Amino acid sequence: MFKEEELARIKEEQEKWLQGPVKRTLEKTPERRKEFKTYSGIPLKAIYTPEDIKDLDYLRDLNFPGQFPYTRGIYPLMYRTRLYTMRQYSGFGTAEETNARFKYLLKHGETGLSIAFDLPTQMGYDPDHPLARGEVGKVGVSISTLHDYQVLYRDIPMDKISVHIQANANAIFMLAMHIAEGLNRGHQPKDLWGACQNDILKELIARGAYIYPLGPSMRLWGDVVEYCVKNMPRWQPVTVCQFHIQEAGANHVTAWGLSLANAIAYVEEMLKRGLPIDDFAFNISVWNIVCGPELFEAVCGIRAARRLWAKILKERFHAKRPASMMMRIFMGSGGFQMTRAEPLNNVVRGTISAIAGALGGVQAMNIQCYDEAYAIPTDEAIKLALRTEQIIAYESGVTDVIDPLAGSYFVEWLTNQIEKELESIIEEIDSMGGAVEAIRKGYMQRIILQQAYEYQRRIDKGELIRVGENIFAAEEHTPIKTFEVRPEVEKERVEWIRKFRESRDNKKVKEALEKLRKAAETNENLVPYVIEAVRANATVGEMADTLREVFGTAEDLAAL
Amino acid sequence: MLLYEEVFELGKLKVLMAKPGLDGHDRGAKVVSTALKEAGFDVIYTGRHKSVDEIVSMALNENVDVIGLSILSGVHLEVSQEVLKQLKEKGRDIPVVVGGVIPDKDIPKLKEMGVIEVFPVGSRLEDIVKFFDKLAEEKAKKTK
Repeated sequence: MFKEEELARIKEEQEKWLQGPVKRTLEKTPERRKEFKTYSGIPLKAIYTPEDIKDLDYLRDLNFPGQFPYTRGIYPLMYRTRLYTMRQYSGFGTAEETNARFKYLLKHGETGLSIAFDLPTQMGYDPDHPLARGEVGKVGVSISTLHDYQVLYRDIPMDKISVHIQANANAIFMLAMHIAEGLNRGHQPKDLWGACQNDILKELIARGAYIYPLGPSMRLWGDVVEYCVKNMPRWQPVTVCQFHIQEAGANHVTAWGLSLANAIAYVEEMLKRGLPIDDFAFNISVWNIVCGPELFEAVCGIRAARRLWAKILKERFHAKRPASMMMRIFMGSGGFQMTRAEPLNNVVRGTISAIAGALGGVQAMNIQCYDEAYAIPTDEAIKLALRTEQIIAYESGVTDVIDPLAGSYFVEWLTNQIEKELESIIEEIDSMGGAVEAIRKGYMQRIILQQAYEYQRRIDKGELIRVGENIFAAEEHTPIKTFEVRPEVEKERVEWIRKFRESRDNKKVKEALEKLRKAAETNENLVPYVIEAVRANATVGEMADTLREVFGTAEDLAAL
Repeated sequence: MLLYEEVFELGKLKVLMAKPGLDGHDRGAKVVSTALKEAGFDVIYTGRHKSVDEIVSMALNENVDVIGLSILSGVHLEVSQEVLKQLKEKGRDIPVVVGGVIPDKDIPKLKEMGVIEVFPVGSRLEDIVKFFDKLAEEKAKKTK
């Protein structure tokens, strides 16, 4: 990008600057820290110059938005034609209560839904199961039957508002409910618009909501993806999660690296099923990331990962279709950076993350609410998160020019640096036989724990700063209003599900579950059988149990 | 006043770090376990998704000196109550410490029911280790 002689002149001037004003300044005032580095530990110089990006080739490395390698964004005009989707993770109590919150958010300008399920639903237990005690409706909505799902979706169009169904081990059940309810309303699966999270590998290494062992988990994953790829062109059957890996303790860059390795394993799984790369790559190239805590690392991480993923698809998997190479990103601000001390400070943290996301060109946003460290959000807190996304979109000007930080010596250097680190993480995991093997050996789990521990040490030592928590901490603790799920929810749900089981056609349920069991013993795709069971009014717990009988249950692969 | 070596020898605590219920967020449980191990404590981690029955029977079988419960899903009151109840029924007075997403107003409630200390998110590892050191010292005094 620069001529040799120009670089030489800049270098000469830089040397003078270092020996002159810089040296004089340091004699009077030392730098604030012995060393400066990013959140993920990349060492930082005081300034970056053309020298640091002298090999940058505009058309090869950046190109235009919507053009390979998509560093500057995946659509030609990005937010000038369509803003990011505003999609707040929500759900609690009963389907009725969550439906009301969905409507509340839509009324205030939310443009997509994101469903949070309670833990029993995520883990395949009905509300009256002993392990569900105390958990019903707590961290998400309790959904056991198609009837629940109908109530959840009441008055919400399934073909006009996109949804992220945040289900993983239970993805097949929730997808089947979505399809079954669609059919009830006269929508074919091809009309349905949305995604399910369905990232089982990150459950096994980070988040922990798994049901079945690794092998059968990957089979269910593949059944869902294959069904969607073949029948649901507007549906993304997996969202690859950097998010939960970072939340579990990996630093920002490592979490990106591990999620890319997981995504490669997913591509390989589909190839093993005999699907051509260009038939499915587009559908699975969606990421869920933590955008933060640092602004530049977040922006450059997005740009680096987007470019690297495009290259992986093209060079490693020989994709031909441009869409196969386009990484789409759903960002969150992360719950972990939200402090318990002085919770209103978290509004600022969420804002910085969301600005980073907009500068990086993400497709959808979810800002974690300021009361994250206390409970699930109040109406007020979740509305403020949505308002933040709207203010950035409509008032800040950040969305008017595409990839506005491109060309900055620092931003391009950091983008290159992160890309190199991601490549080396992928290489390491490849050398172990891929992500599934790395997980079986506990490799990813160990890295995550090691970095989580390192993080906590850095916080305790004051190397990483959290304002109001480890510096300038106030003596007084000001309590905030927090949300509480109605305590009667569990009792109501337990009574309801028991009555429901008595009132349905139990012969039909038994037959559908028996068919599901038989199919599980073969290699057949299970999605149609689960849809049939859902339509016969089988519960989530019954379907999950049927598959437990065939597949067994998972051990904690992430134990110390 | 006990010597450091005496505390270390006599007061060596065996800790059961437990993840009750369906919540899988084990970052805190594992980071605290690592810190305690590094500080010289004997730590057993239950792994995720353990029922109260399983936790209590592990605590008794392993003969631990203290139980840590890591809870982030909002069920801390119910779970702690049940653990304490079962310990009482078995006639075992093992101290229970709770950590995780705990609203302020629940901290006195937990202490009232018999939880000896609460470490909500944002607690410093150093403070947690210090607290366990204090328990070790108490044990050493008793043993001596």
